[in-house]
Amino acid sequence: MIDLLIRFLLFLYPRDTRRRFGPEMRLMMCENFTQSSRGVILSSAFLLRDTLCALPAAHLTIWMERIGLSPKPPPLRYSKPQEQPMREERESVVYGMVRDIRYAMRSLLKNPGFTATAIAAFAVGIGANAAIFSMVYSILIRPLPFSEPQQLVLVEGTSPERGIEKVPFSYPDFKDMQRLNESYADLAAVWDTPFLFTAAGTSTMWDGAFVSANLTEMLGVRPVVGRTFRESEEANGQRQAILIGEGLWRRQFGGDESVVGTTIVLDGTPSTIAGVLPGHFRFPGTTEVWILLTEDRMGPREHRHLSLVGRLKPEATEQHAEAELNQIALGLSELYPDTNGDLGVRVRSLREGVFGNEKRPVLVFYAVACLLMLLACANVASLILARNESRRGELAVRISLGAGRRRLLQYVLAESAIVAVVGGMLGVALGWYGRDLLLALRAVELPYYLLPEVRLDVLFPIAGVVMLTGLLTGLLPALTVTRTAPNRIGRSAASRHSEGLGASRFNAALVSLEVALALVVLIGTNLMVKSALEQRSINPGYSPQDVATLRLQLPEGRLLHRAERWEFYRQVLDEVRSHPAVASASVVSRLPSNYQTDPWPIVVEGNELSGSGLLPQYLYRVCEQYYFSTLGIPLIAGRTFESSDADKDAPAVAIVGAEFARQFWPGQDPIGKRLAFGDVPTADDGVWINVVGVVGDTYNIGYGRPLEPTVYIPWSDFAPMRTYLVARMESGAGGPFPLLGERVRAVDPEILIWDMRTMEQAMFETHWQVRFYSWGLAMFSVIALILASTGVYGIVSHAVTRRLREYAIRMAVGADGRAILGAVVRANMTMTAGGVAAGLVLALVVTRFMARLLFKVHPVDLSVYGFSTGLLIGAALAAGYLPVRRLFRIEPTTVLSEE
Amino acid sequence: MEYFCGVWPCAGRCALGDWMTTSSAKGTKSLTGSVFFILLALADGDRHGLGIADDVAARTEGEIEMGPGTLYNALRKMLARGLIKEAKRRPAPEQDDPRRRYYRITKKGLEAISAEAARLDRVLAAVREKDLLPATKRS
Repeated sequence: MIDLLIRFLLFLYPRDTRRRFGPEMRLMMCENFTQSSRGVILSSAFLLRDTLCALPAAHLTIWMERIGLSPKPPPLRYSKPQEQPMREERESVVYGMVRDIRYAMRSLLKNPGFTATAIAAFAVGIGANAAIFSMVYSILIRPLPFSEPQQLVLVEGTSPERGIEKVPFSYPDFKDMQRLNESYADLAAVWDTPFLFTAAGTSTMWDGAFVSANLTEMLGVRPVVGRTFRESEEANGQRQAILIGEGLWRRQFGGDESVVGTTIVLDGTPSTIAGVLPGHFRFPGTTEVWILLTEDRMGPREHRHLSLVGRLKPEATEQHAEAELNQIALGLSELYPDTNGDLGVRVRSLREGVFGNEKRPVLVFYAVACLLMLLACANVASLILARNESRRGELAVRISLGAGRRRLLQYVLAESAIVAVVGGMLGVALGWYGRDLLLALRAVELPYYLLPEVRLDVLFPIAGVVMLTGLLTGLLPALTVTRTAPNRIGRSAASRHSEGLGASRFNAALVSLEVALALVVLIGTNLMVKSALEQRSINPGYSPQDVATLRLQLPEGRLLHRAERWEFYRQVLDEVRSHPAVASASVVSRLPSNYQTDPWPIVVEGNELSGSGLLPQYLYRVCEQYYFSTLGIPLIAGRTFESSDADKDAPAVAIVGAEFARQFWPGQDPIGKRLAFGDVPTADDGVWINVVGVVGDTYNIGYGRPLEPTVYIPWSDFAPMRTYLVARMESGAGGPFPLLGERVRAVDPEILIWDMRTMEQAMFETHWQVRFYSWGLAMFSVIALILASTGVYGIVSHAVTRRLREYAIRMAVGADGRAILGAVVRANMTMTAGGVAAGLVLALVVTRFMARLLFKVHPVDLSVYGFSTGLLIGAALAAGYLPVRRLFRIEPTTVLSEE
Repeated sequence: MEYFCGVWPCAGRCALGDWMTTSSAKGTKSLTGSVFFILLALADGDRHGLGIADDVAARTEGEIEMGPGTLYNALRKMLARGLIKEAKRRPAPEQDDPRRRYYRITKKGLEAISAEAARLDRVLAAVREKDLLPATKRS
């Protein structure tokens, strides 16, 4: 430290002063510390003050001497004070390092090919890994952002006898379970559903959820402003209480604290804002408004909407908690056989519940990331090894000139270090933007606990590992050279073949490893891409082109009767259809996309379930007669709805999807069969509905999922308050939304219009995950291909350079250039073939774990295996050919004279 | 004894003060404090840098403490003006430190210090005449 201070102070003086008096001044400064009784701090202060006072004069004197205003002191001759040897050495280490770095920079700039490849390998290796690991971290490792998240569980209802996996709970079920259980510290209920917020004539949709009063406290969330719900508010008769998220609060209310206690209108219901929850808390999903569950709102035991979240007592296990709730559910089904039937309970950790669907694809990403990491390390290692290998001759010369081992290591390391540091920095930046790139591939807003997060404690270890690989491999040739006698290295450097074969074998093995890893990555990712393509090639069951959709909400408090609404919608449709740009238009309760499922218990005549139990639920859509023609859903049998179906005394009719017909009436004509909603109709309650037609199936929840049996019922039977307007536009009409909005408002200016999108957008949002994973993986397969190719290129290029002399001699004595080319390509192919063989074996093992992720693609899909192998061999050949091209331009005399 | 260069807040101990020697009417330059004391230290015999600084500190009872910057700035000026020179003779090898350099006063230096002493003597006489010397210093 003191030495550093002295160096610094001396550095401030003019060079001439340092040259003449430097050693003396240094000695005096040292003695100032050793001999004075002042102590280090006061001595330092004294030297600092002295330097500060003396500097201006010192520089002024030199300047005046230079311009001749002041006489120059005579040269000092009689003593040439020597530096302390140790100090000189230390100084030379610093200066040597600077010199080495400068030298390395120059030499790197002279070899832009190597430099760019190595830096790119570092950057891509680190960047790709950082991007994936940040995603893996957020899904597999990061704790859920709630207090003590390991105790939180998701409670789901099941119906084992009917084979239904997820059955929501009713409010009375929830209350009973909350009251009777002993393993839970707390049990809360949520019902995830959007809300329409209306203020000053405009409406917006908010992501919202009904929640029980205890949810916020159970998850450990404190309000930013105001309070959370009170248990007492769950009782009837209270005005609806809500909590809003901080983001919404700032966006909608400008962060005004006085908004707490005021009343807003949600879904037409006046609601009082009780408090504001912190912006980081959005649960479930992307919820921003929480509405208190109340008994009167949730209705009786057959109204099932709720999911349960619980906090286990510290001593309770998931198994025990599940067994206990199943016991309670059994009691409930004995008490209420009509509604609870065979209701069972499954308990999973909340993490499992939230990330269950994401885990497997992410694990594939994780595996790819690990392979890419290995690939990047091998690539960096082979590049630097090859580079330093070719410098053995130069190192030998340095040794024979007396360079010390440490000095030599330093020299060699400088180059690797520069490449590692620059590549590392680029990689970190790439990792950062890679995450953004991954995010750009998604189409919908993700819950915040799913968002990938670039963390330094994830990023730096990755960067560290790759950079360390570079540094260590940089050391290797320097160590081997310094261990060998200089004359031997000199000889081998001069002959540039036969010797050092061990190292080149090592290089070849590295390249084979790279090829193997790259092949595994390629096959794995190509399987996924093929699976994604298969999914995309599926006919969704409708033609989304030129179809515009928007949601309509009828004004609150008006059009209370079904007939009024039906009449109103007819007017709207007439108005819309009258526009020349509209080819056809219709209304439907739910679009065939966006996971819009709305299951309802449906009974089929002749297939009624004996005994009590939960009724199986099926999708239903309420639609107007031209819905099928507007969306291009084909009619398979029978007829579509007709306007006569709306007649008062007309029999109730329904149309079923092909899958529904297949499940219930296989091999029979479904026309004329009967079904019923809710329960088996009795003489005085309910009606049988006649099936009049069969239409094609549509994919509602993503390709590759099983088709869902669907029932369509005519619009005239329900005419709901909220609906989708779908309109097929004449092609090239462009900008359909203003036009449609204008037409709708012409009928009633008070109608709310929101959620405008084309059918193609809606479809895309349904299937974005497929695109996300396939594009992400395709990106990585390209990276793997590039990394492997650069590895091959580096090694072959290096091998050709090393053996240039040998080839020149061969050509000088009459060898054919093609024969030599053949030899090089053969060597390259041996190297690649080894890697390909190993890669194929590895891929056979690895892809078996992917079977469940693949859609209509076998894990050992020969076309994918063939394509990937061909691609890799092609890339390796091309990468190997580039350096070989030099052979054709060889002038043997030039090469030999260079030696 | 204080010499103020008037520029730096270092109470005249700075090297700028040494540089700002003033010319007298006779054409000889009067000496600043640092230069005067360095010459005084060298009047006894050859000394190295640290030896000079120690001598000055002892002579002024620690009032003037020269750091390496001040000392070598002054030495440089004095070498250039020929007031001192580098000593050829060094102590016996066992007492010698090769890093040190020894300085010797020149004839010109001796003349300068005598002239300065005479000037100071005249100053002192004038002060005594007016009885301005503090009682403590008179002894």
